[in-house]
Amino acid sequence: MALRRSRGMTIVSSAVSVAEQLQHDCSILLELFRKKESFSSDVTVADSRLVSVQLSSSRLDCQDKLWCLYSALVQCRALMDKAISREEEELSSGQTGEYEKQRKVVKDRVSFLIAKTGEMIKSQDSSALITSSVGSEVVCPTALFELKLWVYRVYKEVDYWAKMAISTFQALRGNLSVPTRRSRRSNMSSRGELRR
Amino acid sequence: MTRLLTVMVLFSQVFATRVTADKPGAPQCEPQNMLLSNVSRELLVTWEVHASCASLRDQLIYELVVLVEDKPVHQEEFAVMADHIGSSHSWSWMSFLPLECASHSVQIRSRYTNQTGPWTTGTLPGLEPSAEIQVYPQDHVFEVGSRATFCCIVPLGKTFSTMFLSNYRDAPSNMSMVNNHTYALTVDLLWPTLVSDADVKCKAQMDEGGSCAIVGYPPSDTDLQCETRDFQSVQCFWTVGPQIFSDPTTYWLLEKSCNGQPKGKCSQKVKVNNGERNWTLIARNVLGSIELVDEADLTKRVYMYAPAHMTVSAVSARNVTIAWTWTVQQYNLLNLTCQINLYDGTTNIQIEMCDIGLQSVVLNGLIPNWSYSAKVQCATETDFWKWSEWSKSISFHTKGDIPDALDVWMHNVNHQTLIIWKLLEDHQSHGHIIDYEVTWTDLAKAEQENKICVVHPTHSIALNLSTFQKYIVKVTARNTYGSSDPSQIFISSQSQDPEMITSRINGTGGGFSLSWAANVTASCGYIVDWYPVSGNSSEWLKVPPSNTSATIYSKNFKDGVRYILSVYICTEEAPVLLEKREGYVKEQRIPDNMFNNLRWQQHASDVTISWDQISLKEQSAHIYGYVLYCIDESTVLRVTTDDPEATSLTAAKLKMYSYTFTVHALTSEGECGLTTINANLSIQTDDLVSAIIISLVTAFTLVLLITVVCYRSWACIKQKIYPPIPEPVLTGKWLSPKGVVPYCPKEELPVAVPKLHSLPRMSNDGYICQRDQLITSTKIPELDLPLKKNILQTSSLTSTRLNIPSVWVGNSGEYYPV
Repeated sequence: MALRRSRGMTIVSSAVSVAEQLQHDCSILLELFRKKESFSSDVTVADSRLVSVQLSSSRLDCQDKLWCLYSALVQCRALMDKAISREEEELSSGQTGEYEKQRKVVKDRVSFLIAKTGEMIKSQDSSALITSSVGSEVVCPTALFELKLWVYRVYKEVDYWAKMAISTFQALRGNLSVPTRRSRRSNMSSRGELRR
Repeated sequence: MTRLLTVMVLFSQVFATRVTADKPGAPQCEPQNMLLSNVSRELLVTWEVHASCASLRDQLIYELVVLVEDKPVHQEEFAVMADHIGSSHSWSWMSFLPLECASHSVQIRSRYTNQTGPWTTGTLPGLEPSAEIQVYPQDHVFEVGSRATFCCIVPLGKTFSTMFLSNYRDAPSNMSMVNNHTYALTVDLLWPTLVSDADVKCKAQMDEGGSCAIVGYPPSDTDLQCETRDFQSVQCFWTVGPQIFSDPTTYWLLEKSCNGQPKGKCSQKVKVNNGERNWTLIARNVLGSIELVDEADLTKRVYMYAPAHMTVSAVSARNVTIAWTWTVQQYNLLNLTCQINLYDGTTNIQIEMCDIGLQSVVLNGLIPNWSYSAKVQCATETDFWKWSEWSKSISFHTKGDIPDALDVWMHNVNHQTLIIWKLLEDHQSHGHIIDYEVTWTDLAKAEQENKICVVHPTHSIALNLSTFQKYIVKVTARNTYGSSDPSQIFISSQSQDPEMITSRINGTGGGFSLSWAANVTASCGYIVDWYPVSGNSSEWLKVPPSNTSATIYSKNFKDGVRYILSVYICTEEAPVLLEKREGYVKEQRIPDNMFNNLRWQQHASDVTISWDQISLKEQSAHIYGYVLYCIDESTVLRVTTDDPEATSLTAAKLKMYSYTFTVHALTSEGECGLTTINANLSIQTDDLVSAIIISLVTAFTLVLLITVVCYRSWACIKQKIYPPIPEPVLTGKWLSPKGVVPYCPKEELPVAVPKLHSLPRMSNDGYICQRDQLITSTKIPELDLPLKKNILQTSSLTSTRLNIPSVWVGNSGEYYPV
């Protein structure tokens, strides 16, 4: 048990580190985007979340929170993929500058964090079945300006979920226990609702 | 009626047209069913006319007035010819303001001859405010230099703050209010958006909305040029003009899309025949299109494919055949010119060949046992267009052969004749050299041939040849393919001339430049050889007969080394020495302590510094003389000589001090080779003794002379110096001998008196008295003192000179000062 607990602590610490790095990279990406589009720092975007996963519910236990977080991050990656694809189609100059490189870094970091979260889920429940596909296709605006605002929202979303990951993992540190056998779980729906 | 009107209002649509008629009883050709719509940002007005209007004979004119927000902004007359009067007509107009931003109304009335009908009005309303800021137009492409108007529809209850176009803050612009919730921004778009679009941003309090605008140019591509590679397709190139950001120009060659092909290049399948024709490219973007035309006969613009399937055959020591094939059959019928690039590892050699359908070449004059690589490119000989790409390289190695003949020379060393030859380089050896065969024959005994084998890489052999005979020496090199042609050299005594005067030569630029007088006997030219005086290695250079000068460079040349250069005349027989020189490629300062066995020798006040002869090996510069410095505490004495063969220098009249003697050699590099020796000078003992002896002998001789003179002249001297004193005539009591006491001073110094003729009698008193002359006890200072004085003076003179005390020789009455 001590060994498993120790291993679990290592995974959590590693995941926290990745989440912190993602949050840092995201803030850089947001700054680069604002600079590229001459947006002010208080540019107004819609308040509503693009990822509809509720993580703050008190009824969720550790494992559920991990699942929710995992689902949210998977949706974030799908959003990043779509944003990058649309930007390349409509808004790209063909050059690869600092912004394009940072964008790729954030996308890769999200993938890495998803993998770390999956590890944590596995460490708690070795029988968990984890997939990383999103159910439905991401929809985004067609008008260019709206598209830019939407891309910005995507980055803000990733930033939000990076912070949520940090707080979730840190809370998990104190709550690590002997993993119990759980029934198999399939991947979360794109809307992020838990199926019990 | 009221209810009917109410129903009509209730059922009106947002984009429905409202048609109002001002006057009843309008002509039959007045517009009917007028409809306004927004088509690609243009205001499109369509209306119908009564079928009876088609019978009109004259043209029908429609007067149109466009109103934006009920303000007339445009007026126009639209004429329809009688034969074009149909059942419906349309008219479009590009508004300065996006159609979404304000209501656009169009009033139309017809005029036939001088009769005008009533106005018919249609309205296209603008968009109503929504919950979010709306900006129009969205994602529109503008042409650089145009004036664009953007509008911002602010939500109800919000206050408009600002509106701007990013990246165009410095451009002339104007803000205006269209209505109480719509604002317009007009900007002159003076420059393009190249790497990104421009954002139109509208802010109303905390809300923000916007749209994107792209500014660019219509296509401006130029310089279309087409060619063919295979007579089955055409390939065109052009210079691409500026592209619109996110809206690249599309191209159509021969009315076929070039989509997916690289920028500035397009290929299409088409059979190419003889004769000129137009090759047309259309470039199109959202702002317009252009047409580029190249008129050409493409059979004269053949850009060939590279030769394929390169092969090598018939490889010998010096020849090879290179062949290839053509992938396009028509090439076999063309008059071709091909370049063959041959690379031998260091240089590229270009060879050109021409022929119809050329497919192979034979390369001659290759180096045996050598690696080459070759590649080929071709083009049409007639109507040359451009070279094809290079073929793939093909490598081959020629077969070996016997070595080239050696370059042989000779050098005399220690009464031996050294036969030397230059090692063959790789391109001369044609294979691995095994050994060398040296044969030499006394011409007087031609049947007797001596032979010796020298194993490679040794490239010299010393022969003991008689200086009185003539020899012919032959050397051949042998490799696995055989022996080279023999190289021969005649050896005879006339090759050397010990009496030949050696002149001086100065090096230039790391070598030697020398020239000599032409000689008619130089049938095979001249040979210049050189070697260092400190070594035996000899190098040489053979110069053709037409040259009488040579510049010698050698990687073995070293600064500070003296070289002997000789020029020989190459004849049918032995080479003849023409001239000899010696010099340095570059002189160097001679290191210190050059003088060996430096020693000094003192002769009185002269010091001679001498050294051993300096060998030529130690001389890193020509010595013109020597200089000696004599340094004591306060002075420096300099002594020089301009004799380079000197081995000593003498400094004269030095004082008996300690000196530091330094010797330098005088060279063009200045005084160098400093060597030092210290010496303390002192009076020499031998000299001192000699001086004393000489002084004594001199004094003795002088005294002897004086004595002889005095002896001979004693009487005279006595008479002069000591004349006899007359005896007094005494009477009476003066005759008593008792009353006379002879005076003889007791303490008188022995004086030199001449020898008496009789022995003196000793008196009882112990006084010596002369019988003839009575010396009384009375002092006769006048007589004695002068005598003594003279003697003393003599003695003092002597002692002054010699510092020697007087010595009595004997007691017989004869006293001689010594």
